[in-house]
Amino acid sequence: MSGETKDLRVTGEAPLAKRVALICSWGNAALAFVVLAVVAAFAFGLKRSVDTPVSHYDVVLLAVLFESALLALWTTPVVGSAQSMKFFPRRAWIVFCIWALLGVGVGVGMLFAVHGLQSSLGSATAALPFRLARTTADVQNLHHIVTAAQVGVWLWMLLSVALLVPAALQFSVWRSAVARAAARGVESGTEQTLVAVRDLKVHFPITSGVVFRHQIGAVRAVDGISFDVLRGETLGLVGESGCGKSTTGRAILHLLAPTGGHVLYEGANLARLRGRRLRARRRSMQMIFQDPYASLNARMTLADIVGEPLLVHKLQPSRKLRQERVRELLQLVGLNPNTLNRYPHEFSGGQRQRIGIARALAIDPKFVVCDEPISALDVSIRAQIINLLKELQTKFGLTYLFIAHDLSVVRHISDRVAVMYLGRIVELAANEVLYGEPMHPYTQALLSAVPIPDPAAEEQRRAVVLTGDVPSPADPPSGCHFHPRCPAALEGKCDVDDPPLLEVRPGHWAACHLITSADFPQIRAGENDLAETAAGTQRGDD
Amino acid sequence: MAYLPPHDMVADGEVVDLEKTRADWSADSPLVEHRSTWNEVRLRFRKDKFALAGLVTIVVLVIVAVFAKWIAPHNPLTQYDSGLTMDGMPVGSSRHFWLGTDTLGRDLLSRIIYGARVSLVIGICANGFALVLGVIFGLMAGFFRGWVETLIMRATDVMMAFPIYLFAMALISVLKPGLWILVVVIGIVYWTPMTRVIHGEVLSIREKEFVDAARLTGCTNRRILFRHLLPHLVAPIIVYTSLGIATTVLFEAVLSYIGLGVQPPTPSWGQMISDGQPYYLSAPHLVIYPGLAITLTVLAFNLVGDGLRDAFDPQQRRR
Repeated sequence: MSGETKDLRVTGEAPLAKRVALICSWGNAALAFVVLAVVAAFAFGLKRSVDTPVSHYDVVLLAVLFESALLALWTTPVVGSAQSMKFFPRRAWIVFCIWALLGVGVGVGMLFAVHGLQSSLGSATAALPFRLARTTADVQNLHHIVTAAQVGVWLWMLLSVALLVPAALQFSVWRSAVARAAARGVESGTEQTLVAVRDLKVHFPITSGVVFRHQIGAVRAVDGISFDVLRGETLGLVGESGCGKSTTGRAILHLLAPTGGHVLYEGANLARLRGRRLRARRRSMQMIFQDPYASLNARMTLADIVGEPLLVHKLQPSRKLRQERVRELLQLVGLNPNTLNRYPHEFSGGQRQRIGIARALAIDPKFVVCDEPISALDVSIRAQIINLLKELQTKFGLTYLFIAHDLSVVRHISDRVAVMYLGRIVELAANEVLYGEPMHPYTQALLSAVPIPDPAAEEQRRAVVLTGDVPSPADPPSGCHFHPRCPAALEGKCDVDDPPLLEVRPGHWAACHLITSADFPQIRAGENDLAETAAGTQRGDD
Repeated sequence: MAYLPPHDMVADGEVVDLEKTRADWSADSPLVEHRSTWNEVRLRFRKDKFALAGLVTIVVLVIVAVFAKWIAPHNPLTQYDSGLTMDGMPVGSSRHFWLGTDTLGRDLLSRIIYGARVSLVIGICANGFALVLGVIFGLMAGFFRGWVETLIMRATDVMMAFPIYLFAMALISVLKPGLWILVVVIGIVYWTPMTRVIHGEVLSIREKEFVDAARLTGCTNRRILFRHLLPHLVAPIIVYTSLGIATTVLFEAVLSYIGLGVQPPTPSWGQMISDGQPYYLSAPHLVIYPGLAITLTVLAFNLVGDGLRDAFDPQQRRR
């Protein structure tokens, strides 16, 4: 079983390069503070060795310490970027250069100041607001301190560069290894993959403290999910509220910065893009929002709302042609094109959702995330919007990620369906397979909660009723997130091991030890009566 | 011919007349009428009698200030011999001096009319300065968050904790008192409330989905800030500006009263009150009329501000 199962988790992240890069960054930071300590010790030592009223050295000492602290400080962004593995080369170098210039400036200034002291020892010193030096010996001492500090600090800067070069090199090795691994993951899917999500994580930090804000935990809204969206399909994403569906959609489009993992659009990793290149890539990825009242700017007319994507991507700089295109788009979604100078508040909910769709389609996207596009609408209008979405899909060959909590709507529109529970995907299968033969205990419970519009059938069926509440995503259960509520959880297995999402049969993915583990192949298609299986497991164990 | 979608796609729940739809949708037929938010605000504002009265007062004040040269019956700086009694006391209202004269025999009405210039210039310019600072800082703090927000908002807290009259007095006594110095100082002192208001508004607006949508369509940060966020801030900006002008006029009067405002002989309401104060028993009009002018101006701006707030946000209205 496990030999043939596919696993989408990203592996092979070049551990050596990672280690070297991190060691170099941290080494750099450690070295900075060693230098700071040495300079401080030397300076204070000299100060003590001179038997004078010492107060006038303090100014110079403070300046020296300030300079080395300034230089030591810059290691914080380096280490920070090392941890997040995000912008090492560019940002780190820029920060380093600024800091180095500052440090050299301060140092050179101090040297000049001391030289100036030496030449102006006699009368001129009296003019200073404080008496820095009284005698030539004082000036000599100051000179020693400052020179030693400069030698130490500048030496450290050289060492720092010597550490940073390997760090940067190893960072790029590490990053490309990760990208390659993720790309391998895409290849391991099918050639039909349009969007590949690998090990995507979105954690929202919980912070505490007013002045010294620190993280005390994280809400794991999305906790390591992997799946492929195939070209031209509609992938439904269902789950109860708070399970991370919408967050997943937003993280895929990088509206939220993912905490970890990768999103590959046609093999290109979005995590490495920002600014102009991210905007260019997003041209082919759009979103239809849940709330048609909040997703349209109330201060813009229809022509501006729908025409804006054309304007910012410089597809249609001429105002007249842009308006023509807006008219076309409005007709396409079933709105009167002569309303283009109206404001969103003059439309009904369904019409507003159509405006949102027109805006999303303005720049010919290939991939559209529909974030509960109908849940805010009246029941009578839902069907119209669904039909519109379907029609547009066939017309333009769109690929949808359809997020919803309404199982019957998802069944109607989707080709494949993924079920989420507490930040993870528990099951993913073709529409009819998932609804016909659900494997995961959670999916079975979820489906059994859908009311059947036939009293007789409703009475006949056996519902799997889950007990307890959904645990908090800030403190998810160990092992399988579902195990505290699972009617068939195995003690010692489900509450310890994290079940990976594996392909249990062609096209059917599930994350459950009862299904995927070679030791517990109890649940199989066709024998999906959960209670019985669980009972069988118990008996077998006895 | 225009593309027409199938029946169930047109309008919500309406029965569709294809011929009519085709005619309505064609490029030849006129655009459908629309109501902008501005029209609705204007309509609601027009119903508010007090606010209208305030607006009329402001318009009159502005006209008076601009055309002071032609409206004022006398030169405000001329010291008339007939403006003092034999004892050297100011005269009361007469046919010649409608509101009487001040202690130097200058026409009070003309001085009040010219004083409107100072008050309005300071009210509008200082507030405009504070507004620009406040909007820019508030937008940046609310939109970029992080250390930018911390820096700006903590600076705001410090400014607000500081006694502003003392601060302004210190600034002015270091610099040379004068009209434009006053404008700058009041602007520097008064940017904090606007920053706070804008910051709070931006925090709530930036979480709305249309900002995400704008980002997704490829808007740059600058475009989102100025094309998407700023238009939503117009209401608080207008309201707080009109209320702020009232405060600023008062502030100027206070500073002039203690002698740190506009320097004599340029007439200014606060300074006129301070000059007339020693005579308030024998010549109360010296204090009453400039005081009335200040009250009227402040009241007018406050009424307009309140009216605008109600007009922009009809739900908050308490009547």
